[in-house]
Amino acid sequence: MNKKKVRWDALLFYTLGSLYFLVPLLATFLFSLRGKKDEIGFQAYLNVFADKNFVKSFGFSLEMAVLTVILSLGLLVPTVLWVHLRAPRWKWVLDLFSLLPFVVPPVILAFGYIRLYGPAPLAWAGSPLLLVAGYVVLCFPFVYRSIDAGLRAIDLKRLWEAGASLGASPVRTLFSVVLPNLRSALLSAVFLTFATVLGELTLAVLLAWPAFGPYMALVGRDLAYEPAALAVISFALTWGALGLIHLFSRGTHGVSRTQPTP
Amino acid sequence: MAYLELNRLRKTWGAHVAVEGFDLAIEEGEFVSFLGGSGCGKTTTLRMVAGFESPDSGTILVAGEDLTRRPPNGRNVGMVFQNYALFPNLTVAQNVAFGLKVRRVPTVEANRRVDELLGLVHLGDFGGRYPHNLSGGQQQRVALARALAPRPRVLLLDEPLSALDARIRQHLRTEIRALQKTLGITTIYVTHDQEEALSLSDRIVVMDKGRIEQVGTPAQVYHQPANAHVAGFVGHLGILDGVGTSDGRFEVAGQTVTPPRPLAPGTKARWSLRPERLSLDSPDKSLESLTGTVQSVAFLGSVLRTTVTVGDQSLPIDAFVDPQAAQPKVGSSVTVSWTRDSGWME
Repeated sequence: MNKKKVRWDALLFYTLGSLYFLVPLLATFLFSLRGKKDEIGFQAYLNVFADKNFVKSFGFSLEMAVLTVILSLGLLVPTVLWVHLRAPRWKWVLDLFSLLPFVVPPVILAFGYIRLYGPAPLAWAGSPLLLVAGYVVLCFPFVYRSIDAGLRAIDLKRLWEAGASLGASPVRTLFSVVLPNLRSALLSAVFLTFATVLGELTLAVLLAWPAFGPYMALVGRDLAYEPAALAVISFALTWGALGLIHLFSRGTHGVSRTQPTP
Repeated sequence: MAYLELNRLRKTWGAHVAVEGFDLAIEEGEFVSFLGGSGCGKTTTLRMVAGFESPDSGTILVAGEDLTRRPPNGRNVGMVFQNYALFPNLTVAQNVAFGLKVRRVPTVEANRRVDELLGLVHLGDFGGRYPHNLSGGQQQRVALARALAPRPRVLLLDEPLSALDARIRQHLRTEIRALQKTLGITTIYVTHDQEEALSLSDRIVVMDKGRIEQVGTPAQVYHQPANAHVAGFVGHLGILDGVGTSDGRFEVAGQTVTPPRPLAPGTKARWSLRPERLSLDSPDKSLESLTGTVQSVAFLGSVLRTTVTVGDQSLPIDAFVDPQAAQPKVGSSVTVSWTRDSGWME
């Protein structure tokens, strides 16, 4: 009896939650199908894909996303690992830094970059690497939290020591033991970074780069149905990314249990 | 020269002294347990041998080779952890083969060694499984096989059975000891479980507050404890606090008995007695005896533990269960007896 009641409650909230997210999306999708007068079709999507700026801006943002992922993981995986293993009492510093992108708005960040890196000797304002650096800061909370959660889920210290006691070097333990067990966390960090970079507007506009975010804003300003089509495409890309996370995560085999069954 | 020598080891954490003046020589093939309560320094000492902690001073020698400053991956010392620490992304066979792969052992030889080890721990058919598909006892066997696979010079076990239930624990400890004897590997076993230490070890090192209290065989530690702490930690103990009388006897709650050595009048003394050395209502008049009241009776399977209060002090008395005999009644008056040379007086 009780069980049945709980299931109805769950179903109700699940339905309400789904409607909250799906109705606007459905409305956007239906609206995007009206690209041609008095017709339902994919004209708006065709227009978007036919626009060379779409491919160009999307390609540019994709490149930036790849560079951001490489730089973010290259910086944060060793740092977070080191803090977990050797300096756990300094973890609060990383926690604090990870909040900064939420406290310091991208506008301030962009102007700070321009001021610092604009004039010589650090005249990097004309390089897309500055944009990547900005993205690394913006994505820091997502990348850090993903790696942190992944490391918390495994008994890192014991696994590290087990590797060492079996004769493995720290590099070997990292690549053979730690990283494979962080696969899900790393994928999550990668896809969150992709989603953030692909939709980012402020940094790209202020640093004057032809990214996907400014392109979407531009299309939204000048056209009616294409922005809706772009929104649906963005959703599809994000959901695709989530689907990939799920697909790749299925192969992972849990973690070492601290309180195992006897 | 002993096979493994720990000389004057000292380790501090800030102002806290974790291990102090730790001297121990272990022979090749010996099974030595470090026994003590939480925070006594036993795990810290083990971790220094493994290389996970660096001693502030002192040396660690294996077969005459100084390992004190060598990193853990260069020591060839196997370690089994309390929570197994199996690699979740690797199968059982891959876990066991890990140390061999690191040492670039040829695949055919490595596979043979993995099969041999899995056979020894009775998991020959489990090579393809992942750790999360195994029970706790099976995981710990895999951890043992993994630690033994690269033929380490010393095997370290850090409370390997404490996460398991009593039945599995008992079974596995017999297996560990049998395996250790078969392979003849020098082993250090850290535990806070006296029964484990007593049943497994060639020698026991009892520790307290970072220092060694006693080193001895299980029988020595049990029957000739170096001090009251060791006596209290290893096995159960009944304690009688009393004073010396004018005729050199030992007075407890208004009753007197003859102590192992005469006491000066008014001297405070403590007589510690093992429960199995005490008997209830013995007809033997040559024994030392005190009258008390039965406080509780506990049935422990093969043993009946009766707790008797003498004045405001309690004495546990263990006797094998006799199904035909009547159990003492709680509240009844009984006589507790023992031989004069039983226990320790200090």
